Order: sequence, then structure tokens, then C-alpha cells
Amino acid sequence: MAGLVEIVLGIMTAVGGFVDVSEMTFAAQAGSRFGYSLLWVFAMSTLGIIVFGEMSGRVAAVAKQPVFCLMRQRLGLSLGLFTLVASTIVSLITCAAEIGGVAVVLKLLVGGPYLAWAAATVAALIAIIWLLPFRWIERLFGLLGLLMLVYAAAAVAIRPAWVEVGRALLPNLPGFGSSGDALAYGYFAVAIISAVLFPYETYFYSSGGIEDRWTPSKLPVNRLTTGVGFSLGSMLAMAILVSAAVIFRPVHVDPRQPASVALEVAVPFGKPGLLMALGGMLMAFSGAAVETCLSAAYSVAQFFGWPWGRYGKPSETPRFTLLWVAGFLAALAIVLTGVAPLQLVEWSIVFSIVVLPLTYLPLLLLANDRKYMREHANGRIANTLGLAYYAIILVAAVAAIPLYLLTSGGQA
Amino acid sequence: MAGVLTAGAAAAGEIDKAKLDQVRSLTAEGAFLEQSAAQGRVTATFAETLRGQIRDELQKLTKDPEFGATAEAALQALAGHDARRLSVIRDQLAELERSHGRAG
Repeated sequence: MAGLVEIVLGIMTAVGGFVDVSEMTFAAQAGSRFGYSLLWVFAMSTLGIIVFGEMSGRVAAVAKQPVFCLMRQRLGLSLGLFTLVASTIVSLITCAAEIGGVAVVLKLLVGGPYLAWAAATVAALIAIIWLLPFRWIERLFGLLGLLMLVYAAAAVAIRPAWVEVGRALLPNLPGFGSSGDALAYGYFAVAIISAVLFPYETYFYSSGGIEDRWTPSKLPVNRLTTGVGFSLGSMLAMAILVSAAVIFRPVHVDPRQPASVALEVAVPFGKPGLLMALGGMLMAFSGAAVETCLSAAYSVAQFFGWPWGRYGKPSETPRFTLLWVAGFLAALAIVLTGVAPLQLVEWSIVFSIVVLPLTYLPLLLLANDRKYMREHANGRIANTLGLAYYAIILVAAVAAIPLYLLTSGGQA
Repeated sequence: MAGVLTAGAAAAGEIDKAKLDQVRSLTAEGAFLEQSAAQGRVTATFAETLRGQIRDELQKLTKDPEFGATAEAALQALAGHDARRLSVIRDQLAELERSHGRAG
């Protein structure tokens, strides 16, 4: 019974913690701009994060190796260090975007100055991580993030054309009015791949597995959490896209801020729905801020072999503690410069996809290594899917910056 | 008024599509917000905050040679909570975008 509760809680946490500010913004903009058409990219990317998430959890359980230890072993010091610096920058920019998102939501809920809310958010998150054990940090944000389910309810309530929704889950291209439209479609496709396959998700997930002292006996739980949890979580992002296609597309709204996305829920459910959506966003963005900041700290500590983790007291892992506190303060400093959260989201999305191939290569290599993984090494299906997604990530990484520049971040 | 403004922007020939996209979307968000507020679907704090965000973004566009006047017109409509006028400006901008090859 206790095992079942554990599994259900793990899945619910994965669902509630799946959507972050970048997925939400890009899902809504994609729906508004191209109708249901980009749903297939979400579906495809979700299978990708399930494949790599499962792999990173398996490596954590069997080889007990966190991603950045592997990185240094497999890529060598120079390339490993480059990946570390690049992914830390991406994590900090993403963390800043999430903190900005939380501050915006707090302002929408109770008013007050945005920058003061950003500072208060960082103070509160530092206190929460300091005081709560790892498992409760995960669950607090993941479970309260389930308020985001109101977006799924809204997507059902507005009665989309389900047959079209179903068709859009298969690869398709809409009619383009111009080459600019086609490029913007490409930009949104790359952005969605990047948002769903964000590297911090695997760093955090595998580090969490090691913090939770996973053993091979946890492999079925790992499979269920990634397979079911990530699929259901991704359905929330798809629901946001579907609602945007139905509600925003006919009235030419490109929802560029979290507030506009929350309006999707206000249409069918009025003020109670709006408040639930804002509550869900508050928890989902806060959770993502914690994950990105801890991921950055995990990465650096693991790379240099310093003691890390949130199971002990902060004073037992002083360098790791200093890293995540400094990470939050650096992210806050970015927000205080006045850069708009959406701008931060765009930067994090573009740079994250560029770093992604370096993140997933060592993982793919180690998950295949029978010396470490024994009978739990990748089978034929995991390898085929892993290599196919690696090829997709490579193409997206090459295309990301040119598409961003050519389309002015998807606008032109 | 808005028709004259957007026609002026179109007459300029090659237009800045990114700016056009921005001013159209902000105007559309403003129209949607005002409609939702009038129907009692959003809280007063939410409406005022989002209105402020849209206002700040439109304000940045008022100095634009192509779309400054349109942004100004949208700002006035937003200040008057005039969803209908915002919708008219939005539709004209959307038409202008379609004529420059944007689908949808």
C-alpha cells in the first residue's frame, strides 16, 4: 500500500511540476498562431523527455552516477567544462524567467511592485529549500502545481474540434501565407522541443533519484513516473495550446505574458477559474525556479566532486549550499535589471537547445555501457529511440539561433 | 481614426512585420481584457495589472514612425476601457498583416 501511495505521489509530482513558464508561453503562442497544428511537436518531444528521463533515472539507480559526473568522464575536462558553463548560464536565465513569472503572478493576484515581489519570491524560495527536506520540496510544488489541471478542464469545457485535435497529434504542416510564416512555424517547433526537453529536467530528476537513494528495485517506479507523469504533465501544456487555438486565434491575441494565458481559463470558468489558474502558475513557476537553481548547483558540485544534496543539513554541504543561494541571487540580479520575463524565456529556450546535444550524449553513452549498467543497459528500443531523438535534438540545435534571428523570436 | 492610421502604416510600403505583430497583439490583448473585465470574468487587480503591462508595452511603440500613431490610438482606447474601439484597431492591423503574407 505504501509503495502504491509512493508511486501515485511520484506521478502527481511529475504532472504538477511539468509545466513551466516557457512551456506555457510557447504552447499558448503556438496555438494562437498556428491553431492545433503544432500539437504533434509536443507529442513527439514528450516521448523524447520520457526516453531521456527514464534513462537518467535508470543510470542514477544502477550506476549511481549523476549527469555531470558522467559529463566530465565522457566528454573530458575541456568539453565538460564548456557544457557546465553553458548549462549553468541556461539554468540561471531560466531560473530568472521563472522568478519573473512568479512575481508577475503575485502582482496579478494582489497588486504591488513587480521587483519587490521578485525579491520576496527569492527570499521565500531560499527559506523553503533551507528548511524543507528534498522530498517535501519536490512534493510541495508538484502537488500544489496540480491546480494547473484547471487548464485541462478549460480545454474540455470550451469544446474544441476533437477530430482536428487528434489529427494534429500526427506530423502535419499548416498552409503558410509566406516564407516568414514557415520560418515562424519552424521557430515555434524548435522552441517547443527545447521547452519540453529542457536539460535541467534530467539533471534534477537524476540528482533527485540519487538523493532518494534509488536502487535497481526502483526501476519500475522510474518507468511509471517518467512514462505516466511526464505524459500527463505534457497534456497540460497541450491543453493550453488547444485553448489558445480556440479562444485566442480568432481574436488575433498572441499571448506573450503569463497573465494573458490565464485568461484562457477565465473564459469558461470566470473568476474562480482564473484564481485557480494563477495559483497553479504560482506553484508551477516556483517549482521550476527551485529545480533550475538546484540543477545549476548540482551540476557544478557534481562536476568538481564536491559533496552535494539536500538530504543533509545545509551546513554539511557548504559549497553546494553556497552555490544554490548564489544561484538564486544571480537570477534575482538578472530580474532586477528589468529584462522582461518573456525575453528571458526566449533566451533560455534558444540557448538550452544549443546545449542539449552535449547534455544527452554522455547519458546515452553511459546508459549503453554494460560495464556500469549490467543487465539494465539500454535495450534495442531505448537505443533506437535515444538515437532518433538525439538526431532531432541535433537538427533543432543547429536551426535554433538562425530561426530566432530570422523571425525576431517568432514574431515576423 | 484608426483606419487612417493603419492605412498610413501600410502606405509606407515595406513594413516592420515584427512591430506590426507586436502592436496588433497588444491591441488584441487589450480588447480581450476589456471584454473579459466588462463580463466580470476577471478580478479588478488582475485587470488593472494586465492593463498596466499592455499600456507599458504600447507606450514603447508610440515613438515608432510606422505604428506610433496606431499605438497611441490603442492606448487611448485602453484608457477608456473601450473594447469595441480596440477590436476595430485590432481587425485593421490583422488585415494589414494578412496583406503582408501572415496566415491566420
